[in-house]
Amino acid sequence: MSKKVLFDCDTGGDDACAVALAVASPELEVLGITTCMGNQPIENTTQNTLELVRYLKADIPVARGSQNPLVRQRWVGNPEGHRLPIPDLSEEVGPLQEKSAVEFMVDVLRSSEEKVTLIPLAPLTNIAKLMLQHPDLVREKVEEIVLMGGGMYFGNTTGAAELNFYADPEAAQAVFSFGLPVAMCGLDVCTNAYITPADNDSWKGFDNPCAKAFYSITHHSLNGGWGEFPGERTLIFDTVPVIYLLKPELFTAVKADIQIECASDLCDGMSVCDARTGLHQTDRPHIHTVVLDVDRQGYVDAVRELLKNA
Amino acid sequence: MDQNKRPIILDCDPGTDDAICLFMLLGDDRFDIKGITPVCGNKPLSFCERNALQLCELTGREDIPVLKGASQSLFCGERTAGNVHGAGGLGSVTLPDPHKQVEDQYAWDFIYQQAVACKGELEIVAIGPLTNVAGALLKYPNLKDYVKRISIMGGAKGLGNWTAAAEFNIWADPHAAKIVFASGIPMAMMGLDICFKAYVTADDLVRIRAAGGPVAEVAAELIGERVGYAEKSGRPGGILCDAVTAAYVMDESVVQTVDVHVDVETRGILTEGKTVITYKHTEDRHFPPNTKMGEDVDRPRFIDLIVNSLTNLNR
Repeated sequence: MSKKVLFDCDTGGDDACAVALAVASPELEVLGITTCMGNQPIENTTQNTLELVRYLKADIPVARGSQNPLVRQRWVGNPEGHRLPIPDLSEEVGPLQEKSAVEFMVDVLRSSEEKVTLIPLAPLTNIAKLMLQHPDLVREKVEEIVLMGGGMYFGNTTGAAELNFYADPEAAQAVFSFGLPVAMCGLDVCTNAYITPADNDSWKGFDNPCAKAFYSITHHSLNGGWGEFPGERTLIFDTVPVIYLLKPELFTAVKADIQIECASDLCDGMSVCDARTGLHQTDRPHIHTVVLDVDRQGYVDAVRELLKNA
Repeated sequence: MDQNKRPIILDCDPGTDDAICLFMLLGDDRFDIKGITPVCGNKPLSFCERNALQLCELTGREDIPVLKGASQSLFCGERTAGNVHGAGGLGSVTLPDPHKQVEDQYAWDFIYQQAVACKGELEIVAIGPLTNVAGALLKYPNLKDYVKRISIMGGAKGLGNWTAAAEFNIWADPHAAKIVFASGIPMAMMGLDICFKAYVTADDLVRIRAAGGPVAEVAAELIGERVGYAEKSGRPGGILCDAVTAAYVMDESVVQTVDVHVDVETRGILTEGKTVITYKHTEDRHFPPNTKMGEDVDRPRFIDLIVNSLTNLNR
């Protein structure tokens, strides 16, 4: 039986790769994608998501979410949007849901007989709103939350904070303090889950839209589209939660109490992961999971297997 | 001044691991220890002063002046570590009452005076909250031109100890730490991450005790408490944070460092006192390195340095 999942994305190349893997997996059923601002404005992340869904020939509803953070009157992304680097991508797209992201998620959760797993890959604004407005429904119908964001040992947008949490620290804090366990796939593991040109070439020939989308985006990234090591390796952050959901045995993780700093000069948006044991352990339970590392070869093999059989 | 020796001021809050750091430096005759500047930290100042005097007398180094340090942080009042280091600050070790008293000179004035006298050669080894050092920088802005290096035990790359984000020494005076890291003086930081790699096992403890003499005996008792605690909590060995800084100052090749930019958070609700580490740059900003941060330690050689110093002190 397949696991029912809802994505929340700021699509984005790596979001697109994550959705492609989920669509490729017989173990996952994607019930919908909600969009959020992130690296790009909401118009761009929404249009990109619609274009992606059509390209993947996937019948997945898309609902538009938040442009503004939960509390703050500021947005930290890049105002210049960009399309997904997939050849022959059509600008003609299917319809957008009329309902907002939160209303759409409510409908999906209510009508699903089974519990649903949330895979947030963007700032947590939509998810926080869902939790704040419909706490009972979330407690009743959300199976687990596996997200990309944060980092235990370092940040990227600042020395302390990763972009998704930095973009809306209060929303992230709302999600981690809600009470449901969260598996946090942050910069620690995502930095170790890199893709090399040889990895990417190994699925170049697979003749299906999931593999083609994944290959094109990763190829673009490897050739200077983004990332620090052009030609050598690239980081596709958002695919990590999908593989973690499917093959947790490939990963190492620690249990922790996680809170998000919302009132700091240097550390706003930092995921403060409290995994202390012994002398200094607090009485706050370690309900969350910090995913720290991955068997990279196993990870790449899992990606290839999914793309091969899509 | 002995021209051939490296002049050092030890700024500390003894403190059980401070004692080991002091023994290590005293047992290495390449150093000229100009003075000890105690600071409020592991214990209130009066305890740290007394312990510093006792440790000097134990090692027969009553000639080293112990100065008058800060009794509280710059802006956050008196922050201490409770009874982590025992009721008196030296664990279960009891030493005779000291004969000498603390000098009638403030730590920050002494630091500046010595730095100028040493003509740029003075190194500061600071293994407590950085209140005294920051005080010196605030009072004498040109101090930065006279200090060769400040090597500290403090901070963390990842998990803290006193809070989830902050290590005790930095948390105890975050503003002082911020001032010191921003001073422009070359910094070396031995944080929790490397300190946890420099553990001491029960086998190491046997070697330490075998160095012989009263100092090694005290060292073995202090370290033995840490080893015992580690055994109870399932860790490979006891942690002696401040000793790692001594090892780095004695032999840089024992510690692998990486050049990073360090700043200190002073206000965060969850992150007050966190050392924010940036590796050269974030996505949109360049951060010039200001610190050599300890990444890894050659543990066997670290133990050798402890044993060698204690052996020298027994000569």
